[in-house]
Order: sequence, then structure tokens, then C-alpha cells
Amino acid sequence: MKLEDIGKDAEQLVKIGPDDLMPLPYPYDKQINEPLIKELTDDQKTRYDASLDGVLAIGIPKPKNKEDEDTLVQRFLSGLKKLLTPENNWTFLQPLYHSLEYCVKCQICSDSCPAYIASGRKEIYRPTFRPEILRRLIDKYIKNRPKLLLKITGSDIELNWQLIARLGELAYRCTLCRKCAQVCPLGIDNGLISHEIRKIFSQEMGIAPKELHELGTVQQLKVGSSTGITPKALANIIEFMEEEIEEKTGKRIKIPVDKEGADILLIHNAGEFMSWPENTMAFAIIFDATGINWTLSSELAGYDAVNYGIWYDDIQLARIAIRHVEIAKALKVKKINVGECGHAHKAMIVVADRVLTGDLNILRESALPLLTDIVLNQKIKLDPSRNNFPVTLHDPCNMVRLMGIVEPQRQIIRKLCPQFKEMEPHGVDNYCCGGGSGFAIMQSMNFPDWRSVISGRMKLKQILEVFQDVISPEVKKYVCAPCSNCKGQIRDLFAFYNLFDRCNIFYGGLVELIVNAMVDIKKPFIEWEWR
Amino acid sequence: MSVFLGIFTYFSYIFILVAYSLKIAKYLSLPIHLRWELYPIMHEENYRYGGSYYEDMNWRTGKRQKSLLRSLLYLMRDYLYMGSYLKSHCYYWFFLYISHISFILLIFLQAFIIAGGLLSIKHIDVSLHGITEYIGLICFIAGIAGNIGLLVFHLVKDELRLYTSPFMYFGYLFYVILCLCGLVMWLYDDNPFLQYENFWRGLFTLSPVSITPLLTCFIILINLHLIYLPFTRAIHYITRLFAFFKIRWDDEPNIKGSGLEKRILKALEQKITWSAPHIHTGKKWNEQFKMND
Repeated sequence: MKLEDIGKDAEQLVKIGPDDLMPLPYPYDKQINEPLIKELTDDQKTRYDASLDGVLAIGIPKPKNKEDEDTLVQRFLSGLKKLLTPENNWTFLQPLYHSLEYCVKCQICSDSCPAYIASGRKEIYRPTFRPEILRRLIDKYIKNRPKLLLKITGSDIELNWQLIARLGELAYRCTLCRKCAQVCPLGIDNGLISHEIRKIFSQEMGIAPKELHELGTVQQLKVGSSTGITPKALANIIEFMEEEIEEKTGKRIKIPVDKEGADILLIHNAGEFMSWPENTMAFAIIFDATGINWTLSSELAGYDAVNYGIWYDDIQLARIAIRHVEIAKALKVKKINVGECGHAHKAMIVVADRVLTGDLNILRESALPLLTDIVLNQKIKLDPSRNNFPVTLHDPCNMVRLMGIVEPQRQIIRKLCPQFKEMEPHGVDNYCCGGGSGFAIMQSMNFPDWRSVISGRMKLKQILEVFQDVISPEVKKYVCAPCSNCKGQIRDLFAFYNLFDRCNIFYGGLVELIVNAMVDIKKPFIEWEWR
Repeated sequence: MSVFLGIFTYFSYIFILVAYSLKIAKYLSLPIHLRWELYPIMHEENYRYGGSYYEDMNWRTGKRQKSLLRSLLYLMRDYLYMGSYLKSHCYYWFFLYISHISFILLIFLQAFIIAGGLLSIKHIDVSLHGITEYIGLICFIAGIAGNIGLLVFHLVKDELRLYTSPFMYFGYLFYVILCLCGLVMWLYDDNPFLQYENFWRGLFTLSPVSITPLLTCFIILINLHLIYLPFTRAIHYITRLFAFFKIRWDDEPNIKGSGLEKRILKALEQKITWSAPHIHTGKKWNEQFKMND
């Protein structure tokens, strides 16, 4: 296919068949066993534009008439123009400018993209595809280059509503893992271009996946959490957690909430409270056992570390980051510690570092070095033989490649898990779980199938490969993923492929392994029950 | 012809200098951006596995170990053997590598010739002719082979052809023609680089000298190439440095009262014109943060 085909009239640009997919190891080496991406219903096809690849992440409604089509085009162009101005996009203009101007299109980045490889190298998923479309649109419609020059420089492209709808969807076929950027010798960041396209849609056109915007950042600021947990519901959850801790461990722990002057304000991804309360409980058990002066917050957004703004909207990113530190400031804590959530790490500690000024610049850290200090310096008694099962570690991109926290989690696992084995590749060279940049929480129509079959396929392959010598369901195995969104994706991936039943591969966080090894807790903390 | 060639030569060198300066100035004048680093970061202590200072609980109070030298050596090493390409596409790497070697040698050749011309005014003979002869020969052969190889790759490989513009093909062909002309000149002219040095001495002393038709062609092609370069992405030699130091390896934390913080505060004072419903168009960045609906 040609690049200009993205704007052509076609029912569906790309179809992904079972024969296209990257092969998987045993027991998924026979494609007959494998589930595929569901077809959209006729109603969905009628209402939304699914002409890119038959998958809907955003679900952009089809324009009703020519006027609607023109409006879509005009708003897109208006956003594109603003994206290139310092006042509107000082936040990313320099990196964007570099990637737009200096890519030599050598395609060295292609082989690093898990979605591109897993799909059987579909051209639309190639890391350079979206940037090249954007580059051509800028040359023609923003720089207004003459026709002849456009022909010579290969920048001639027709902008229409169909192209815009497809480009919008295509921006959500990249997990922003930035592995492509890592391998580029010229420093080009094609992941960033996907991010910037998302910003045009959100910041100018008001179009974003519902789970990221309406149910994500907007709900978090209004209700308190993207999960919908209100402060009142949080109080009930904490009570439940305290009861559960007592039942599971025999320990009576009072979880501190809104404790003024605490050393640490711990903020979890609120998804943990909903889906993996054992993770938040494990933090409470460890902090209690070590006598750390800590607290949770019950303020709106203060108990949810997520910041989906990092994936699609700079203004929402800053609003949430500022909300988080304002809460810490009001509580007079010494610092914020972020629990096991990769993108919250990256958003709160790194990216938002350059919007937090003056008194808002409160110390923000990862919980992982603190946990490493506890484990390595034996501040609690631990028995590694309790974790004597095969364990592998998934590296969340936001925490590892994009933030450089690589060793603390490894030091803990090496110390506590005798059968620890690394996936290949790992560390900063890892592959995304397939749920990055919001994909893990996006449940729109058949998009969850796409992220299991395509974007998560490389991770599935890695997990199967690392456990290949113990793949039989008789051996229980553990994938440690110290990130809520990665866990969400791994949960969905495992459910899609029925991995727990077929191979007895379980998943969970890091702190669960620590508590599982605590000698003063009689029963195993990890329950090996699929939920 | 000589006077015209002299003016044309001056123009082309001034043109590329001005054009590149403008490009660099534009790049460097772009505003401070949010942090968007990518690990491994070469100046970090734990660069070997890609670790950052965030692995240390006391990073804010402890002293950071940063190595500028290591960063520069890393970039230099990649300039010299382009390891990323070698690892992934060794055949493509070969042609890319020799074409880059040719380009670098062409710069050296120019530098030696100009330096020789300049020094000869003062009757200083640094005997660079032997070196320039070899540099020229390697440059021309590598340039022809490398660029023909790249041209073929871009024509044959789908993933390259799809993204290659007529202008890029022209670039490969142009360089092949330039090198062919240089090679023919090297083979058939007597002491072509000594003549070339004399030509430059003439330019400096404003007394044009007569040169052979082949050298005239070569100089015209070199001049055209200099004018052509700013319209290509060849400046990535330089912008790559900025990309690494100012974006990919920019892990400078924002400290209260720092110069960095002042730049951020200034950026936050700008008014936004984004117009989605959740944004307050016309308000400043720092005002947006207080308005959540």
C-alpha cells in the first residue's frame, strides 16, 4: 500500500488474518487454538469509522453530511497549526520539531515495534508511517508548499475527513513504548508523534477515548478517581483491607489516612484498590512492619496516582499533577511515594517535573528504592524458600526505559525468588506489555481483542518462551509486573488466551512477593486464584 | 568564467554557512520542553544497564555523577562506525557507511584544499598534496559505490521505496555524479588538487587563476552541492547532538529557584489558544491548572 492510500475511499484499509500473525511458542504454536479479533457489528460499522483496520479504539462517528466533514477537516488543521506554535505546545515543540525535520526514513526502527512485528508487518503500524503522513500534511497545508515542490519532495497528499478519522485511530495503535526511539541513531521519536497527534484530537477537536478523558482525567478530577471510587467508597475499601489483612496474616493494622506531617504520602493507582487489593494490603503490611511514618490521602484524586493526561493531553496532565502535589502540600508530608504504577511514576516524577514550580515542587519518588532498602538491609525477616517457584519480571516501559528504574526491582526478586529468570530482551530493552498509553483500560468495542492479538502478542511470546521448560500446568509460575496498567493488560491477555488454565501462569506485583516471603506470616500471601 | 566561478564559490560557501546557522539558531531557540528522556543515558553513573538517579533514595541530596566525556565518546563512536545499522542491517550498513565516509572525506578534502590555498599565500608549504590525493580517491570511490548501493536499496526494498521521494533519489544521483567527476579529474588532470589549492589562493587574493575544464566542472558541482545540502536532512550530523543532549539525555531535575525553573515559569505565562471544550481558550497555562471543568 502507498502512504497516500490513508485518505482513499475504501471499506477497510488493512485486514489482519490468522496467517499474518507472528507465530507463538508452544502451546500456542498451532493457530487453530488461537482466538482472533472479533468483527464489529453492522451497527458499529454504520455509526463509526472503522475503515483503518476494522478495529475501534476511539470510535469517531461518521460525519452526517458534507458540512460535518468540512468541520472535521478545519478543526484538524487548526489543531495542527497550534501544535507547531511555542505558546500552545512549548511542552513538546523541540522534540516534535526534531522528529519531524530530521528523520531520514531508514526504517531501522521498524523491527523494534512489537505491534508492527506481531501484525505480520502491516504497513500502517510501521513506526514511520504516522509521522510521514503528518509531515506531508504539514508541508502541504501548514507550510503551503507549491504543488511542484510537493511532488519533488514526495509530500503530496489529499486531506479529507477519512484520512483524519483513520489518523486519529492510528494514533491509538502505538503504545508510546518508545522502543523505536531508543534504537534510532538520530534521536527521532516516532512514539512522540503518535502522542502529538492524540493531542490535536483532544486539545483542539475534543476527541479522545472515553476511558482516557471522560471516564479518566475528567472523572478523576471531579469524583476522585478514574475508577469511580469516591472518598466515601475509599473509606469502605480501607476498612475491608484492614479486615482482610487480619484474616490473611493475623496482623491488626490500622491503615493511616490523611495523617498530617507523615514522612511519606503513598499514592497507589486506584485500580489496585478495585482489582488487586492484595497489592495495597502488601504495602500496608510492609510499611507497618518497618515502622515507616506514612499515610494515604482521601482527598479527591489524592488516592489515585494515575494521570492519563500523559498519553493524550498536556493540560489534563498538568492539572492532575498539580492536584497531587497540592494534596501532599496540605498534608505537610515530606515526600510523595508512588506505588506500583509505571505511568504514574513517569507522569508525576519525571514529565510533570517541569510544571511544578515553587512550593509545588515537592519531592516525588518511586516506592521501589525504598522497598529495596527494606529487603536488602533485612529490615523485615524474609524467607526466599517461600517463593520457590519460577518467576519472571516484566519491565514496565514508563518505569524502566523512560525513567531508568531498572535494578531495585531486580535486586528484590534476586534476593527473594530462587527460580527467577529474565525474559529476553529485558531492562531498558524490554517489550511493552501491549497495554501501554492507556490501552490496558480501553475497553471500546473490539479494541481489547486487538491489544491481546497484536500489541500484547510480543509480551505473550516472551512469557511463554521464558517458561518454556516448565510450561506444563503442573508447575505454577509467576509473572511479576510492578505496574497496575501492565497487570491489567497481562490479566486480559492471559484471559484471552486462557493462559492460567492451560499453563498455570499467574501474575501479580512485587510487594506481594515480599509479603509472601515474610516469616512472621504463616499462610502464603499469594493465593494463586484467578480472579 | 574564472570570475564567475569565484563569485559562485564564495556565494555557495556563504549560503551554506548562513542556511545552517539559521537552522541551528531555530533549533536552539525552541522553548524549554517537558522532560522526555530515554534510557540508557550515557552521562549517568549506571549507564551500563540504563539506570537513573531515581534508583537512589537520596538522589535529591546526594551528589550526582555525570560524565560529559562518556556521552561525547558514545556519540563519536556511533559517528565512526554507525553501530545501530551494523547490528540490524549489515548490507545496508555497508553502503550507508561508505557513503558517509565519502561525505566526511569530502569535508576534509575541502578543508585541506582551502587551508593549503590560504597558507600558500604566505608561501608556507605544508605538503598536504599527498594526503589530499588519497583522501580524494577514497572519497570518490566510496561515494560512487555507497550512493549507487543506497540508490539500489531504495529502489528494491519496499519499506524504503515507499518513503523515498524523487528529491532523495536525486540526492544519491547528484552525489554519484559529483564523485564521478572528481574521479575522472583525479585520473586525467595533472595535480588536480594543487590546481584546486591555487584556485582558492586566487579567491583569497582576488586574482582568479585559470583551471582545467574538469576541475571547473568539479568546483561547480561542489558549489551546487553546498547550495543543495541545506534543503536536505544532511545537517543531522549536528542536530543529532542536540537531540541527544537537549532531549533524549535531558534528565535535569527542576530545582526551586534554578534557572530552569525561571524558564518554566516564563513558559507557563503564555496564553493557550487550544479550543477543545475542556480548555479555557485565551487563558494562560498556569491559569488552566486551576480550572478543571
